[in-house]
Amino acid sequence: MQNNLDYWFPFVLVCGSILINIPKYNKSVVSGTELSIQQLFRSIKGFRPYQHIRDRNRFKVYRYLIFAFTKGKVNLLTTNEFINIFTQGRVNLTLPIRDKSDITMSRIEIDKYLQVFGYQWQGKKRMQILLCISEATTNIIKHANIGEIALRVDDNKVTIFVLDQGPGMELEYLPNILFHHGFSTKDSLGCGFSLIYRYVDCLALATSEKGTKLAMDFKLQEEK
Amino acid sequence: MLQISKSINSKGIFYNLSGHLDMSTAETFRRAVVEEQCSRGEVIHFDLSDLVFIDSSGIGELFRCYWHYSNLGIRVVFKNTNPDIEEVLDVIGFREAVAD
Repeated sequence: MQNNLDYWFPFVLVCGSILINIPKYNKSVVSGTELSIQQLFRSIKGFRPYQHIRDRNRFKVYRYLIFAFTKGKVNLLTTNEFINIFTQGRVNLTLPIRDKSDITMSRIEIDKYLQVFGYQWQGKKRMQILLCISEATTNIIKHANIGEIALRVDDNKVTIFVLDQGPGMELEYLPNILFHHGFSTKDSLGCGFSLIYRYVDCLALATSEKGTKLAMDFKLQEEK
Repeated sequence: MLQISKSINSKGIFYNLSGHLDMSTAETFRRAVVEEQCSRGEVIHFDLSDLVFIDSSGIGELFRCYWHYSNLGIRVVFKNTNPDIEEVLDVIGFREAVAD
């Protein structure tokens, strides 16, 4: 639908210009004031020419700013870019998140799995990773109801994928969600994402109206 | 997942929490603790040292409990000797918020 409107936009522009130059139509929409082309298009409900180009440019601005601000720690990706990362390698473990009890169960399962993997899976780093897992899966239950968590172990790096099909996050809210400790769109402390941002080594994030996808990278030290 | 034991003596009510305090066990905590009948001037002590895990949802429950009883004029004390739990409490700002 949007593409169709874009196709017709130049035509509508020309017609609009002609109409505006006819005195009869000049004062028709906004009574008593001159009708501009912008006002004419605004009066057509839902008509947003070139919106997808604007959305793409807006996304690029957020992507570059977040990347620069976090010194490369947070990458905002499109859903397709994220799927490329997700499908690049083998996933060691996948767990569904369907209700509150899965928050605890998935954390315990991943904890058990990594204990036998030959890395220094103990102390602060272990707690920090488990905390990030818990915060991300809690967000699934709060905002999307269901989703899944997957684990990939490569060399000395653990990647936790957290995927849901919820309503996604508004780009405008993203800086606050990531960096503003205490910001929340729900009745909560609003610390989840800021904790993840604090402890993760690298975070890839894709969000749209079809869901939110996270890839949290953590470096582990080899067992001596 | 979350075990709560309770004892009462002349110094107040003592709760010992062990296991996991997160969104899935928050309800258990709320039912066991926040519905407690206390009178003004009493002290409630929470020992968090035996918790193996706490996240922001769990700390949210501790905050709710603290505010609930503080509004009733009841003092709430949180004791913890577990460094992993203490780090999360610090990072979230819990210690600063409930400092006397």
